[in-house]
Amino acid sequence: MTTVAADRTFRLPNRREFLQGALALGLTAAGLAACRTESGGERGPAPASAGPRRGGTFQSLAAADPPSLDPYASGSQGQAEFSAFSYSRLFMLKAGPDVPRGSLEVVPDAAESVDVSPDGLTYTVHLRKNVAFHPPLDRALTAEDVVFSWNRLTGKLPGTTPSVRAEDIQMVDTVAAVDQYTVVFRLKNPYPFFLQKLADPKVFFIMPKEAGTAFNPAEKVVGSGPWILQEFVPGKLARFKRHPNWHLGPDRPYIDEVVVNVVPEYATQLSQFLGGNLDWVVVQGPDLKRVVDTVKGVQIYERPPYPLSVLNFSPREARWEDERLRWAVSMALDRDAMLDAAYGLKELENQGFKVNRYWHTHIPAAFSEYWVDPKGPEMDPEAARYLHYNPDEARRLVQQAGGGFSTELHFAAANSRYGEPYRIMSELIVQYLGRIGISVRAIEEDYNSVFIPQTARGEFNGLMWIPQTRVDPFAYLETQYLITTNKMYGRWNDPPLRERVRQIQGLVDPNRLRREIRTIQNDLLKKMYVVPMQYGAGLTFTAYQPRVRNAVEYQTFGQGWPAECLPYYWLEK
Amino acid sequence: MGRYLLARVALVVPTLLGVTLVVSVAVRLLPGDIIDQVAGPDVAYVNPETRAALERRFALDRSIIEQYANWVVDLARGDLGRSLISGRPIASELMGRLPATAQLGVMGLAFALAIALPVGILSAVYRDGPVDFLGRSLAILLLAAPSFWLGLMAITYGFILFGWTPPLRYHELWENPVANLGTLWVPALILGAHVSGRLMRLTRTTVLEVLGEDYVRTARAKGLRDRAVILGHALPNALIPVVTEFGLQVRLLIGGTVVLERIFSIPGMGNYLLTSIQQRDYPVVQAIVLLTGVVVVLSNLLVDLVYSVLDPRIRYG
Repeated sequence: MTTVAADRTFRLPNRREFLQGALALGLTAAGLAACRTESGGERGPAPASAGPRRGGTFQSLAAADPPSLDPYASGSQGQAEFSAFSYSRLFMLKAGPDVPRGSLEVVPDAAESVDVSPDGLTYTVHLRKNVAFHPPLDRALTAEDVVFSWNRLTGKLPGTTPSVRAEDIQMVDTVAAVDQYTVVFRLKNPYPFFLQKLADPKVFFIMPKEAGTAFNPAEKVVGSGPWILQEFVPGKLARFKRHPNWHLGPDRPYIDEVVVNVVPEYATQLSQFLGGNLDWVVVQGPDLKRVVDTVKGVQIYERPPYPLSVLNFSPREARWEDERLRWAVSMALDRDAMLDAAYGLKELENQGFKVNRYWHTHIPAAFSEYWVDPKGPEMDPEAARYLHYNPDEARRLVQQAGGGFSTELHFAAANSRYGEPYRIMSELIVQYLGRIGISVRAIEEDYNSVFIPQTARGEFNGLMWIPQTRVDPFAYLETQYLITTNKMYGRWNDPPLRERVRQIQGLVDPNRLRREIRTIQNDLLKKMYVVPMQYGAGLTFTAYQPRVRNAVEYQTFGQGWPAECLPYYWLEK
Repeated sequence: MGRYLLARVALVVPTLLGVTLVVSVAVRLLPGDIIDQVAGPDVAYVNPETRAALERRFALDRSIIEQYANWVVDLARGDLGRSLISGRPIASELMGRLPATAQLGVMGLAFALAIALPVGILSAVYRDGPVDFLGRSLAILLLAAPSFWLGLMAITYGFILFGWTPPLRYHELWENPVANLGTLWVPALILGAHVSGRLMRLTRTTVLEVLGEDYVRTARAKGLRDRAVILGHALPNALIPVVTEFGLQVRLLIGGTVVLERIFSIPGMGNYLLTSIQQRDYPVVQAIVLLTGVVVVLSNLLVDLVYSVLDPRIRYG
């Protein structure tokens, strides 16, 4: 029986821990400062603080309104991030100075602990008794609310429809309340990252059972998370105040109020941050120096290399069945050069920043525990060679496979959705493939009209390129090799591989799971059913104003940060 | 005049129905629906049962005509419906966004007139001189420079050169006039500058034409000063094409401000329309098109009425 308990993680730091944290903060500052040359400005965390301090307003931002106030109306990232302010989950990703970057460790949120049966099929979740819904309900969260929310997610409640994310939890057979504070999840098959799935803010939030009857969740937010929605003005802002009775309080959240300002344009976001109006902003590599030079004491966090994007081969083109052509496509790509061009890494190096060039495998580099570095010793050289730039070998493979294609291939990419790095890489892919004798014509498809409704559903010729975000490494394997309805991935007829992925799905021993996921990456590279790309592997940064404390130390990836990290930030005067 | 007005107003209803019907059909013919947009890149994993249930919920399982007819019936009851994605009433969403867009449009048009009329007149009066050369160059420059580029330059270099950033949040005019104007003056100037390029050229051309007319020569022969000739005799006659063009630009009040609203974080209708089209939120698109149609139709009517004020020879009846 495996148990994850709450008390090990969430409590106020004692004096010694706080001093250790301050030391870590100082070391991080020193480390970051060492990344700079003499010509540069300053970066790294702000000077040590006297300690957590209550109060203040955190000026946050979002590029757009959430699609809805109802957490199950959409499966988008914007929806997940917005809902994470006010709605609790059962679990959430662990954050803190001692948590490695990209860690998938979960900690209880509304749950107190969980017992997992030895076969990995039954999860008994014990709820905290002090989880309180926001006003006007002001009552304790119970197992009934969890079951209600699950039924809402799956569309089993009268008058509701399933969330588009319902497929993410298809491994769950039943969910039942055993008593007021105990919920049992029974799975059809083991799922190694089930707790991470429950922690995914794109999937599951706990709503009160009154939602839909006593109030309309599309117009009113009543959750039990750290932030109470006070005001929502579409297109303008969302204002939250701290939940005084948050179950992970009572001191946290330290900040009194958070205002999420809608600022759609990157250039405007950056200007507002430089002008001191926003407390944080995501900074693209080429702008980093300007930020560091302009905002004295700015704190910079290097975001983990995430998400993964893959190049897909059209099911309509039979020649892609020849693995030599697939290898050739991968070996034609100079991954480091693509990173340099798309993320301005060389320029960053010239400015004195330390730069890592990660290569995604079929698992994003962000999942550092599970990802195998293709440049490192652990990767089988025979597999790693397919990721190394080798145009001569790629040309030879194309010739061996019968030469290039008789007609120009289509290469479908989204026209603007994924930003400048994606666009630059798209142009480079066309050139690289042309050099090895595969003539490709890039088609920039409208994201909403063509790319999503047609191409992303497998209706394309030649090649297509799509980024995908998953909250755990196994989800990438599952969607690529187990979900057979998917026209892009599931069509590959490779029963041994499918069986192997299925075996990984059944693993409950975390060490073995880690080992198997690391090992299978070698084989996936040798098969190269999809080509891992570098979009998402480049460096992007989050910058925080000097007055924001504890921000660089408390980071998770994904959209759960308003509950996982923000309650631990505080503001200096 | 009264009969003319009645006839024009009577035409408004079929015009608006026609416009909304065309738009309703067109937007539904675009590939993809709200389910695709909500699922995004994971659209391939939405299982068929979920898709079918969502189609029923959004009434996508009904024919386009049936969907449109239901919308018209609701409209007749004064109900614009709810957004498919947010679930909120569309009327309240529009009421929240209309003032910002309308104000930006009005300010933009005011800037356009303030730039275009004096420069256009001076350009015509000092034809082929340095002033004319400068005026024409300015007009071409403003026509050529896209407003999104001007907006981004203003944001980026406004900070680099002057340490200026627009206020972080938009405030309504009645809430905080100073902050409101602080947010809107730059995008309105950019909007107005872009529109003024065309108006400037038109003003110059029409004033030049009028300046060659007999009545202008007669006015000068009577010994009137240049200012009186131009402002009193030439300009009113030259303004009819300008007013027509100005009327056409009124569409900016609703839809032409999309890019500037995005860049300057203004919670207006242009941005809302764009997002709704992208998300295939059909009832919202129809409602905004309806509103745009009303504004355009009424502004055209107003322009027609202004003709008779500018030129007493024009009579309706």
